[in-house]
Amino acid sequence: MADMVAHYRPGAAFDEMVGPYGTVREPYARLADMLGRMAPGDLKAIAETLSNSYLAAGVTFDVGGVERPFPLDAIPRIITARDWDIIDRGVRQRVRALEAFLDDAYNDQRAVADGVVPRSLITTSKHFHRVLHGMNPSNGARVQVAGIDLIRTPAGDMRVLEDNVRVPSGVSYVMTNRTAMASVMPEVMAEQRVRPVSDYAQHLLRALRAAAPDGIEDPTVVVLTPGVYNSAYFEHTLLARTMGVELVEGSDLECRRGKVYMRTTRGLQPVHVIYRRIDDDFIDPVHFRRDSLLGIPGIVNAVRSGGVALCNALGNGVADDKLVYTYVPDLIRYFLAEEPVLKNVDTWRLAEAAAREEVMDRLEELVVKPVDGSGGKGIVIGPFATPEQVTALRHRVEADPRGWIAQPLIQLSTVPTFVDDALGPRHVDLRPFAVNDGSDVWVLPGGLTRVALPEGEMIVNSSQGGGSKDTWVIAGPPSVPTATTDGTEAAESAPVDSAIETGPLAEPGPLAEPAPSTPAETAGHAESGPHTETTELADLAALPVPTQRPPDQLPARKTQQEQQQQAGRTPPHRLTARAAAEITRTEGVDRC
Amino acid sequence: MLSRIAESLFWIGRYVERAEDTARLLQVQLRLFVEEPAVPTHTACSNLLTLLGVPSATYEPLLVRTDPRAAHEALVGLLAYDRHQPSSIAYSWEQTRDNARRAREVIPSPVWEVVNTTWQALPRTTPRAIRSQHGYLDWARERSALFYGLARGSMVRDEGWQFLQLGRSLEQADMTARLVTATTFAHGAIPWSAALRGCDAHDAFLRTYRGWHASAQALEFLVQDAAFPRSVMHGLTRATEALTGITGRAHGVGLPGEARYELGRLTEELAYLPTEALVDDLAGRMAQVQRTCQRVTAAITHRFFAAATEVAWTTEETH
Repeated sequence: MADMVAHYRPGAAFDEMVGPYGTVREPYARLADMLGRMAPGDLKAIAETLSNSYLAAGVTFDVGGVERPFPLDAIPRIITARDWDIIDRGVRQRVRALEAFLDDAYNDQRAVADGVVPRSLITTSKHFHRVLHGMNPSNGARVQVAGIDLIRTPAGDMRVLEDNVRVPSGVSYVMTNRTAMASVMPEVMAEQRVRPVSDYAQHLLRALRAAAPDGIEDPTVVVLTPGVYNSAYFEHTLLARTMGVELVEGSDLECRRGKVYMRTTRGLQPVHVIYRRIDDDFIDPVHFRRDSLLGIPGIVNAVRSGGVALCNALGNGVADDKLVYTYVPDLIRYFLAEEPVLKNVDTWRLAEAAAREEVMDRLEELVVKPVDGSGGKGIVIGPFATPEQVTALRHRVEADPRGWIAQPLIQLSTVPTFVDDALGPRHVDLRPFAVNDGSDVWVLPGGLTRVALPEGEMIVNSSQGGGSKDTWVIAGPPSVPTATTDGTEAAESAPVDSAIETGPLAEPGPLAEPAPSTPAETAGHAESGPHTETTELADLAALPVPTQRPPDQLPARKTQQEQQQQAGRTPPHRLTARAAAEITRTEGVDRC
Repeated sequence: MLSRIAESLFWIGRYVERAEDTARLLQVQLRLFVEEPAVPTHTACSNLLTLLGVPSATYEPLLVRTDPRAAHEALVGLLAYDRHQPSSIAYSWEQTRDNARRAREVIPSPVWEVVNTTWQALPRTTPRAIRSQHGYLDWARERSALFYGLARGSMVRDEGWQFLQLGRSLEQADMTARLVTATTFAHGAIPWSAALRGCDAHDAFLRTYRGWHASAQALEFLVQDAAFPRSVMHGLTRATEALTGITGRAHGVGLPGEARYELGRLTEELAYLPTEALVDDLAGRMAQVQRTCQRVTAAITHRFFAAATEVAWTTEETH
């Protein structure tokens, strides 16, 4: 198996594990070491365990109505604390700017007045709904959940590929990937001190509760799904389950007098916050698509009258518009007065004549994307397209220049991936998930690493048959948790020390730290007074497991040998240890 | 609890129980083919299929030949492996999985995994070897038992649990009634011992009655003995308890057509029925049990689930 790492040959793109001179990069040192110590077939066994567990648990993604297990690769993607700090700050900044932009777009449009963005940018967006003008969420937040897609360029820096602030999906795989990996690679994961992802649901629920209409003390939150045939249905069930809330379909809800109710066995019960996983177009047949059976008639009016909160807010699609994407760096400077932490990928706006002229002759070397697409739909990758496809694309762009952007083809970074019994470089992107509760944006450490399984393939979308990897964000150096006045641990919000990259021998992991043993040491954590009674191990030893009879009163059990001797079938002779063991085993079988 | 989820749990309870009971019934029948060859296989098969609600149009074409082996194969194919036949084991697990998937957020993960892996393992074809058929029936019984074992250990005793219990108990009473009826197709003492064995009741019966006396007592045990967990009576009482758990009302019987009323009436009638009267019109009494279970299901559906199925195309009320 040592060969497996030694034989790994990255391609031309930036490889996350192996550097330009064939050396293993620092964060992957332990993993490479573990792979090197594996026996032949171990990795294959791990891969099989992973896929079997996903099959059993029904961790699936529907493609064209067919449920498929979502492929999880055995090799994780590892991100250093320093890199993560940049991603974390960059994503939070971007979400704050997009929030400001959405608020502005549906109210005064100052950014237009000040010339930051052209008016037509907003008014011509397919996802800008005039009906929503002036409809503002109670706590100001419109983007409860954002998934910002990032890629690593050949130069090694992270760039933003697109923003998803409508109904970004994939976070369920982040959680299930971690659980699955923890059971197949527990040693490496524990040594690496990977930052946990299991508290996502808590953060989401807090953000959803914070979005409740004014005056609701203890809001009822539900997750709204289009139903079992939706590609992300698994995710909807997982979110509802981990938040402990109801998963509802449109037909479970009913609008009455500006309020929303769900049908229960005890009649109608009010619902205050809906985490909807249905696009705007389908949510209310009264206002949007009249033929939709997925939505709830009248829900837009209920939102308008403040009876219910929809999360993410209606109309967010205007911020997902890929033409708006090109303005986000300017929006960050305008609304936040900051420089963007994460850069965009260079992009031509085909709505602009000069850019169009420049691009039209080079279509076969560029990536051209529809501005309102999602899930990789409609993207034309010039170098892989046939001449007919390029011609067709040219006509479509000419017919609707506003509908397209173009980007240079960027080699996404690669991570070793277990395919055909060997490790091969496969392209990945990263979708970190941000949760906004109205006062703070929190980014789940890690996010979904999607991987394009065919060699050389650049499209990683799940709907295009992509797989995923567990994403490990290495914790910074351990900071001493101190209780603060509000009861939360300061360490949680402490900035990750960006100067130190965790190496193989950095700091002892949490497992190596001695457990607090005296009351004095734990006093900082204890919520009760100093006189808490402690139970020593010795006290527990005085409580033996109850048995039916004390062991010394049990009748001596006759071995099979003895029984056979009594029956006169076996000649008496001394038993060898091995024979005795076999007899005991047979006896065990007989007793089953 | 959402009406839709309650409905799903109710039906999961029914289908998992049905899968198990159909397997039991088939095992009894397969045993009788061997032990009691007096009754023509063809007749026994068509009787059983009718009893389990398979339309004669479905099974007649498969049974026409006098070859007992063909009849046997059609019986097992329809009741064990056919995914489109509502009485079959395979159909029951398909439906369980569909319902469980829609109620995924309220079902404990290990319970869901049993449903999901069972569904995945369902055979695509009917094996020819009777040995493999027996293996499948054993497996089906084990999967249902595993489901309930895990559910019992992990589900909170809330409304959802009560709906699951309600579905399960009604199905159990209904299916034991069918099994008892099926036993009367054959004659003599052997069918009763086969029926008792099919319900895992043989040893318990012998212990309760201190030996074998008459088939009437086996009947009494399977129908009226509330202490035996697969008896008709036990299913009915347990369904009443579940209903009480849901409505929170321990007394009062309600009105004709309501679930409590129908259950209570049948329970009392059966409880005080002399064994001779039961033997005299066994098929009629068992049909009564099935009809009551149907009425109770309709009443429950109307009272608790109906709201979920109404399409929300009402005009919105404004102010």
